[in-house]
Amino acid sequence: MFDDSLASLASSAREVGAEGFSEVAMSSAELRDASDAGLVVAISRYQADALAEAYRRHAGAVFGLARRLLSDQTMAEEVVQEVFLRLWNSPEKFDPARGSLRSYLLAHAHGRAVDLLRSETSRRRREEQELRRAAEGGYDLEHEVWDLAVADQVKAAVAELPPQEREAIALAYLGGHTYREVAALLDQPEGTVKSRIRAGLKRMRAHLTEAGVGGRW
Amino acid sequence: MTEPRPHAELEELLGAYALDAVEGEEREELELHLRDCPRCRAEVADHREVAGRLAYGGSAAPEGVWDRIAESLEATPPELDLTVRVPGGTQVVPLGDGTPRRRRSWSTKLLAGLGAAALVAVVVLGVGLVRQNDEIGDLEGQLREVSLERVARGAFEDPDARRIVLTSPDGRLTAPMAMTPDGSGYLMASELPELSGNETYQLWQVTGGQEVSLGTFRAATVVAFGASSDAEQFVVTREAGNGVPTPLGPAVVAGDA
Repeated sequence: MFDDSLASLASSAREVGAEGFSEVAMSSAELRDASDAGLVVAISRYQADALAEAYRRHAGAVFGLARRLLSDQTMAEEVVQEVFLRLWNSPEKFDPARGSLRSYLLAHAHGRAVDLLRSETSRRRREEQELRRAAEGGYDLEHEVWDLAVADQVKAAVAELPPQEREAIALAYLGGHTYREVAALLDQPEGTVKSRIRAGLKRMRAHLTEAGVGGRW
Repeated sequence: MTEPRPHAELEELLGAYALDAVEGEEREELELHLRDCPRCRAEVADHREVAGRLAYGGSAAPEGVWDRIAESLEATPPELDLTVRVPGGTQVVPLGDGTPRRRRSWSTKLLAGLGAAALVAVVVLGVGLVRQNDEIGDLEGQLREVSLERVARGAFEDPDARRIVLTSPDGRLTAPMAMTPDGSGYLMASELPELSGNETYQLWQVTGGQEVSLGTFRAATVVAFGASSDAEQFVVTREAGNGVPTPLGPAVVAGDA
């Protein structure tokens, strides 16, 4: 069950003698090829270039998502900074068994961006934006997802969603709304919105699993 | 306070929760539930993985952000003595009083202790006080899959964790301990002397004069255990055989919680 690179790093660290903590660092070639778990172990050993590698792999996606939610470059950059510093300071919070490093970082970024979004001044500005968007023809997850340069299989999975599930997920995830706000925006019962979000996510997961999309970024 | 929601109702929230679309009391209730329910946690993790796919982006992070991150890494806090000596032999580590975090100096000492051992022996005590089977399984799973030392280090670095140093009556032996808010505890036991054949160390928590065994161990660098937050004192005794229902042997190290 152990990731190979994790096990070999751990054992090489243990071979160090009485002089103290292991200084066995990964070379840049090793870092480039390292798995998520291996990279995070290196980060936990205060290897700054391991964090740089994680940044190289995932900062674009993190920034893209934050930017989409916040529509403000400076705030989006702050989110990127916070997410990676948090990885540096608390690498033990990442559990490779639970999911990829990418989705872990994106989940943090999303949560952080949503917090910023829901602060008082943002909310008023957003309400105006929403009214304008609704007037212009509403959300379309297909196009949103296209804009974010998503992989083909994901686009296909999105295209296959029933429109109401797609809409609810788009408003919640990309719009940063609570499910109650989504219900208000769509004029639907809250219970319905909740189940549509859940059902849509399950449907997408099934589609992606079928399509064999389970690999690493 | 109204009755807790039925599980089916909480499940309905899992999709929205994974998208950060649940707020307020509902969210708090759901988060409490997630601590005890591995199946719901797994579902949330699945939803987050799917949501992450929606966000796959080709955009590069703007310049300047990495530089700012790199600068923050360079800033190491000054070395400071964290321990406050209190009469009676108990050492208390001050936490969260607004001063900058000095985690690295603490963990460097710990890491030196860990690295010096030829093999890091981590013992997970199976007898937890208030842990359900799922939680123990999950703790062991975490320890297998993430690196054992790092979980312990994480607890010592967690600003919300309680840190105590257990000491021997003559002050010569010390055993630092960290307890995170969820009751997971890690005791660094490498200073405890080697035991002869038919003996064991036993960890106890004392609450209201009552001693409760948290488990036994022999040789260990890190002892992982589960305790409850109302513990007043922790004691390690040396017992014959495989442990006893109530402490009989001498206290090796002890400390107030």
